[in-house]
Amino acid sequence: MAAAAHGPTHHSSTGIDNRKLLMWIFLASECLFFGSLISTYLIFKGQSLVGPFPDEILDIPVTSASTFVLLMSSLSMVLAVYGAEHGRPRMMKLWLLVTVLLGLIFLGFQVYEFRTFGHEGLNLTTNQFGASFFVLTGFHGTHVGVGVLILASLLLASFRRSGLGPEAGFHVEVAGLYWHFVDIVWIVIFTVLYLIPQ
Amino acid sequence: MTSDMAHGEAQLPEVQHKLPAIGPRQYVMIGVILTIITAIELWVSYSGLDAIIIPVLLVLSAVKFAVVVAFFMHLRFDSKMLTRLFVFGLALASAILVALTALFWNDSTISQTPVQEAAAGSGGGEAAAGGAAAVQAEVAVALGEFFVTVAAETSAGGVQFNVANEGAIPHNLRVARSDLAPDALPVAAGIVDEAQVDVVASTVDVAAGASDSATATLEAGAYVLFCNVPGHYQLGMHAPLTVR
Amino acid sequence: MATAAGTMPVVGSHTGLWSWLTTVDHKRIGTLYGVTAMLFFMMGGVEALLIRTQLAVPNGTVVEAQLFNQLFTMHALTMIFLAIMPLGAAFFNWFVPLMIGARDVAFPRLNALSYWVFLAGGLLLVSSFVFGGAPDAGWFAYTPLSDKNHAGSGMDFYVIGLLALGLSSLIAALNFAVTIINMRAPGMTMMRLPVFIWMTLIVAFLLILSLPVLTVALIELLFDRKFETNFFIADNGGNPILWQHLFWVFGHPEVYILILPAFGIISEVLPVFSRKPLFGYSAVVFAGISIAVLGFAVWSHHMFTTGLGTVPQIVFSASTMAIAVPTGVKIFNWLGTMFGGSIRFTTAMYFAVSVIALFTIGGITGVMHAVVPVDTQQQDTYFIVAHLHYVLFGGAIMGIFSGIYYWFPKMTGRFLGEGLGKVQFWLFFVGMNLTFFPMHFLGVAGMPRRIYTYDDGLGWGMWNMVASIGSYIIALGMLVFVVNFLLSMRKPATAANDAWGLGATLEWSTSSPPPEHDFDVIPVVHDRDPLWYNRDHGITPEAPPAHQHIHMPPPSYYPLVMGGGVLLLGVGVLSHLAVTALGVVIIIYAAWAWTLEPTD
Repeated sequence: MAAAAHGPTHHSSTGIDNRKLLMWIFLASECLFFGSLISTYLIFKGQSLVGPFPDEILDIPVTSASTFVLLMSSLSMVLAVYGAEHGRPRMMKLWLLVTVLLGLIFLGFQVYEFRTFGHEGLNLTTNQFGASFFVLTGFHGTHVGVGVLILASLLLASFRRSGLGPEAGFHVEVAGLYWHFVDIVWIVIFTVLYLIPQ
Repeated sequence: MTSDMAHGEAQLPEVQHKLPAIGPRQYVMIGVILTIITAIELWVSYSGLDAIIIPVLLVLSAVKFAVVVAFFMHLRFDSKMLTRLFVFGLALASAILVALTALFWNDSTISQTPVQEAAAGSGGGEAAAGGAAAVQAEVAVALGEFFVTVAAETSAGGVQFNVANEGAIPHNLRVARSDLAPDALPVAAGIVDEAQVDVVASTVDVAAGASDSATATLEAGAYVLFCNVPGHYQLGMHAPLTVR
Repeated sequence: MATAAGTMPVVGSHTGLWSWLTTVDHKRIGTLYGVTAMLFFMMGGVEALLIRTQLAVPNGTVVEAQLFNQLFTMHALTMIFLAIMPLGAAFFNWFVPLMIGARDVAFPRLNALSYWVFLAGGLLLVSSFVFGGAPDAGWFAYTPLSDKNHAGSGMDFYVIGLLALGLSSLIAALNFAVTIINMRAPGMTMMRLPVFIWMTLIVAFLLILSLPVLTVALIELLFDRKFETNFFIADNGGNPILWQHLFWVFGHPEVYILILPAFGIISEVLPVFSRKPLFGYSAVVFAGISIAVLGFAVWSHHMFTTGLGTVPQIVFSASTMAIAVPTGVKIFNWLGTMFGGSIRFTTAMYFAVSVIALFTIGGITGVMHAVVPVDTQQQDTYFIVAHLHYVLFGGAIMGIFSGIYYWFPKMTGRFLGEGLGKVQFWLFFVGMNLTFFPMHFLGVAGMPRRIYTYDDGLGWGMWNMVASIGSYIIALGMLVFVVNFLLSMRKPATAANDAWGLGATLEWSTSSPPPEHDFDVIPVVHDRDPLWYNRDHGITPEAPPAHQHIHMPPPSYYPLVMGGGVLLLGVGVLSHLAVTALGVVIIIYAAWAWTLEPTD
């Protein structure tokens, strides 16, 4: 069974593929990672000694737009998975491309937001809000960046003659799990940081 | 690989790869629903329905979270074991988050105790002094996260401040005679340094939803009203009052 | 006999340095873990000896105060992260596939990566001694002691080293969790898993769920130190208590991460040498699970003196007392296993039985500290040092040596000498009790932890001298072990498949040492003690076919390359940004090449 661990897994005790199981357990671990970062943010909420304070600086309309972009990237991701699983490589490539672009747009929004905050006098060292905000959203952004790299790699690889191989649907699905997770983390961050009144 | 195993070696179950029973049409519909929920969230957050705003937002985002996990991540169609593993991690993360924030909530009330006592002491003193003067005017003051709302002017003489805490956490009121701008009072260790300003009236920490009053005899001039729970002044809990 | 290995054609080269650098074989990786961890264990032992030599007499002058701080910090870090955890990992690597009837772990290359990242982290941490001083703020690195205003560059090594070691543990834990859940031999249901495998699974989940919290704490400390944030700096609005909370949310599960592998080992050794099945298998398993779950709900008992408030103190006190229940269940089950058994007192059994006794002492002094006033009295005294060493030396280390003596014939085909083994056992047993039992008295007499010397006339002199003598006896025991090991390795490998003639679990059904593919035929499991069941029911395993080709994963050097990338990443954070960038590039390159590398 050992060799089966490297090529396509055909057999397992639970009927679940090893790699998919790995990804889900990893995501459970990531819950604790982001849970701790959000805890830090909440513990420091209202503890900043000097401004700018969140209600003066958070731009809800702009962030709503970027939230919408990330939400739509989840939709395009699931369509790419559908294309890959149903043997429709063109559909898969199209939606993978869309997902990568939407991910990049989200990152663009984040860069814009960070720069704007910088101009308005908020950075890592300004106050507790700045530190916990930038570290939380920064690590989320890093996760998005890694996701973009993974999806872009899949997209590039799919243009090889052999495409993504016989397990294309599987590879895209597991990458998709990661991507959706990054999206649901943002769902929580958007609510807790931006929407709940300061 | 299994094909290399030449004979009837015992085998584990085959890996299941069931495809979910929904397709692009349903996915798009779910995307639309998620967008609508996001729009509702935005509306709620701007609605000013302060009492329900936090629970409603939390429920809505939990719904979005669950929809993405169940449908986009196929957990609804996949092995129950994956659901259990993920939900265990999520539940543990949530429990630790709640426990940590609760521990620090507790922590902050402890650290406020001395301040509270000090405030009670000085507040009592003010009240006794003020009680001698006849109340000639009443001024309503509203406290909340993080604002102090009060009329712009009142008249000199005995004034009773009727303080209502409309916020979700404890606040207090200090009335100080000062010509400084309301946001420019001297600050030390997270609070306005009461030794450096002329505080003429103060209350104890008023619990969320509760009210209190304080009286003082005011001369004509500029006053600043602020909350001196640590950090609150800097978060914007100050307002000017002109006495004529 | 190692016959099977000789006849089976297998892919890949088997000798030389290169074969070790590129190996993905779980047994070789286990050996790498074991040997490396043993070297670190001896290093941690030397640190301990220096500490004990300094404290042997009042006003000792062996080391300076500053070096003393580095020594006790590095002693803890070395023993916890570089010795006990990787020694556990060595057993996981060796025996998870063998005991569940698999030919390798689920992700062999990830397995290799976890070792290389562990090595990188260990080297980073230890190298601090030569680059400006080791960490000196205790293994828990409480802020403000560890922040940029109070600690030198040693704490940067601490942060980077622990981040790397955490990454390594996370990778390994994910791998073992998937392997145990998904790669069990036919018939090996979850409730037929050997208890050692259950404990491995529990440890894996503890790591998976607690390490991210440590990672966040370390990142915030790193930002405080390098990027001028104020997470833990009180002057600027931060909260040093937050560090303690985050650290112990990880730190308490970590205690179970250290002890549960030992529990698993003795749960294998006791039944075999008592010739009786484990008493109350399900109770032992569920007790392990309860310990793990409760382990996440007790962290603040390390912080009773920080002013938690009454309600949290009561809650954490109660949960801490509750955790004694499943622990007690285990102890009674082990006693029940031996009760009425036909006991064979091998060295492995000596160590296993001593774990029950010594851990019980450590467990009882642990429960004492669930009582807040008692804890307040004993916080930061030598009483705590005594308690934790009864758990970690008396429990974890003695358990690990039980496992070494038990499984050594399976791993090498050779027995460790029983005579020298028993000498080592008695030296360890007497030495550790001499060292750590007097610390109870010292603690109650008020001697604080982490002081580098003390005045004459405080009444601490005699017991400190006794403790120091004890530590040298332990060191002598370790020397005996090394001699025993070297002597054994010179003998021919002649151990039978079932080396003790008593084995119950699947690893004893294959040759000693096992062939690269572990099993010629994947076994079918009918019972919790599959070999005993087969023996009693006259089942003989299927003979391997004459011309069988078992395809094993080819060696790969990308795990090594990626481990090098992680090392550069760490070195970069400690030195220059350009090195970090190079590390990232190497990691991305290795990830690409890894994915595209053919594995068939």
